[in-house]
Amino acid sequence: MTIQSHREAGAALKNDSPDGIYVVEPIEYVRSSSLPDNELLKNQEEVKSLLRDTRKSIRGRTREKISQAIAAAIAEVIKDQEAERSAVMATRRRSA
Amino acid sequence: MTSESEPIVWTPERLRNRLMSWHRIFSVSAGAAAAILGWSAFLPLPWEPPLTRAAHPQPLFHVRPAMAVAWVLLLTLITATINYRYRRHAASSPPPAADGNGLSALDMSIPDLQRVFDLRAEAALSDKMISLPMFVSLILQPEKSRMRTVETVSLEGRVIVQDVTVELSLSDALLDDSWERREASEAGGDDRSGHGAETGNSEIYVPILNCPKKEMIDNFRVRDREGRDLDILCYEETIQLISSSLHFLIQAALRESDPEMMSLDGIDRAEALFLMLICGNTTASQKTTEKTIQAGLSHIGINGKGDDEAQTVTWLREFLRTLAHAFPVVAVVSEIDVSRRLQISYSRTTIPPNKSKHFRHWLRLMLGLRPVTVQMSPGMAHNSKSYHLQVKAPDSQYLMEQTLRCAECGRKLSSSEIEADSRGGCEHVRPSGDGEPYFQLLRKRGQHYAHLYMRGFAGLQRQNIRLTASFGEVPPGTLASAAITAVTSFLLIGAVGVAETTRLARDSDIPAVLLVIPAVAASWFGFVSDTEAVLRSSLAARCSLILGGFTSIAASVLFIVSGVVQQDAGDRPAAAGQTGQTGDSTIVLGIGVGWWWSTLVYLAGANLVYVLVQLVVRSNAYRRLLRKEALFNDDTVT
Repeated sequence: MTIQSHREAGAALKNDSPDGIYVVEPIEYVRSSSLPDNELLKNQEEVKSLLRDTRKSIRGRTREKISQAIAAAIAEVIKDQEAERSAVMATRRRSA
Repeated sequence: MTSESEPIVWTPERLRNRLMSWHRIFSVSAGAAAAILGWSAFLPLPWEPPLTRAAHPQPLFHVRPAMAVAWVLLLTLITATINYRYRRHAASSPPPAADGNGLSALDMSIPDLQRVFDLRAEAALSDKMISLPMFVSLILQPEKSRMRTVETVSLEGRVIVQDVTVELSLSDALLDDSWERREASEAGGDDRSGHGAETGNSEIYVPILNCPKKEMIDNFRVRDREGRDLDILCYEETIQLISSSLHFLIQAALRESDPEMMSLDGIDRAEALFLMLICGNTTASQKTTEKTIQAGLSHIGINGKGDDEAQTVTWLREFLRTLAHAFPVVAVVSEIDVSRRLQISYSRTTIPPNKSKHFRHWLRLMLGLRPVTVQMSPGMAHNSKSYHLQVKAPDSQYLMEQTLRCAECGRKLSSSEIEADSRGGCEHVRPSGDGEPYFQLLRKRGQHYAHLYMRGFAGLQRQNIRLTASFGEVPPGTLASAAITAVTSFLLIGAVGVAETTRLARDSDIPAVLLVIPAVAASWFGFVSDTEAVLRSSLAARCSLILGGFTSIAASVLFIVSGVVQQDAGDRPAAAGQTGQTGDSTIVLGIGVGWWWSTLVYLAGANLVYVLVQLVVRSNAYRRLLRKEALFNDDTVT
């Protein structure tokens, strides 16, 4: 099954804010389509095993390793931002 | 001392303060100038001769008209300036759109992320872990557990109160935790939850609402079935659940992937990226969200995307997409019975925006009225097996119109007609077979609320439909007050007008007082009642009261002025040719007083007819609703 791209709650509608009407926005985020069932969560033994692995995995992480991973992730984001900024500036120069 | 002081640095804040002081100087100066000009234009100056001395030579150029024009211009300038200032302060600056300049919205710092990982490590030692499967399930598939959702929107005062009651049925597979609690006590030896391991009565964490990020929830209260207040997890506790659930889903997804493609460092790095997406203060755009998810998944060796994607990967992807745009509100439930059913209610208040650009709506606002129509999206029907939406007005209102429309094409939907696909053009079809999805609106019978019932929308693509409910004032209401005022005004003006035009002798000034009574009544009826109501629909009544009050005051003024003119004409017969009595009639402002009275009587009569017609039509419409037969609701979308 194909999962269609989600739509944000309160997304702009054609008749989103008509004149002279109180528009009460939805209080809850609603995905545009439902998810298929996850068979894993229906199997209690599998869930137990998975929870056990999760707990062990979290406990097995050292603070140093996590710090390195965070630094690498932030460097990746900064690099991505720099690339985007350069692309935006180049686009603006071309359009000017 | 001055030379030693630091040079002034013109920061934006200082400049703004400076501009404000300029504004004050301008206001005081302009106000003083307007006062002087006003006096000079309309009142005699001390050195000028009294106006009554006509023998004084007249100057060639009169400055008073020029001063009057300057006074009007200055007053207009002051009003425009003050109005501009208020408008500038009231203008809501839209929040900067995520990725508005094409840059990434991920802006968390290293200490913030480190803190999130520390919180996750704390959660691994607590009994929060046993809630992870249920937490994930309720975030991603709320419709599986929510049996019934009742949403009530009450229009109270200036605010709108939203009450939501959710009945949940929790799956046994997600709730059985005895084994895990035992393991936690054995392995950790550090029972942070305190009582859980010993009593076997652990808390359950139920995400009750996925609130869009940056949505301010006002007066939020969560209650259980008995009406007792429930605790809500704070931000850090919720982050513990989210970060642990993320690791839980990653572990599940890794079971489906190639073990050679993943590394522990890659998992940490992917989680850091995902947590930046979830915990950041700004809402990332869809493009950034998808890009970050894909980058994170590639770090854990998951590169595939499409129909052949494993369910666990799809769940991880949807978990990230959901929490990139929404943040869960998690209630703490300490007791649950054997039926595994829960009822949780929450409420909030909201202040609806009121956009009024058309003349009719602008006029309503100017007259102290407010919109009578409320529009809502029944989106929660997609998160529950059955859904009730009630839009309640105050008791003094009744439901005039209710429609269910497609927001894309504006078409009114009939009973059990749904949208097939709102994205690629609207197709509204009637479902066949077992009758689901299904919706129904309660018939209008003079009640003060609209009630929409929806069932079977949980498995469907989100429908872009809107419920619109319009309310009117229950007759007679303020229309009756307006009618009484109009009758009184018409009778008094008519009687005094006839007496004046037939030149009956004046014995007292009591008619001048009597004529003002309808204006006083109009003020009382029109502006004291329902001051705080969010709906005030009596535009006809308000217009009638204003017109009735205006004619009454005008009649009283005319009575006094015509009397003065008659007396003046009697004292100075020589001036009778210009103002005063000419033959049989008195002239006021160049028009005979009889015409003035005729005009006022006509206006009062037109006002009376207008308000009586409105009263009769609306009363009949309301009575027809009350007399409706109790028919089967087979076609109630009206």
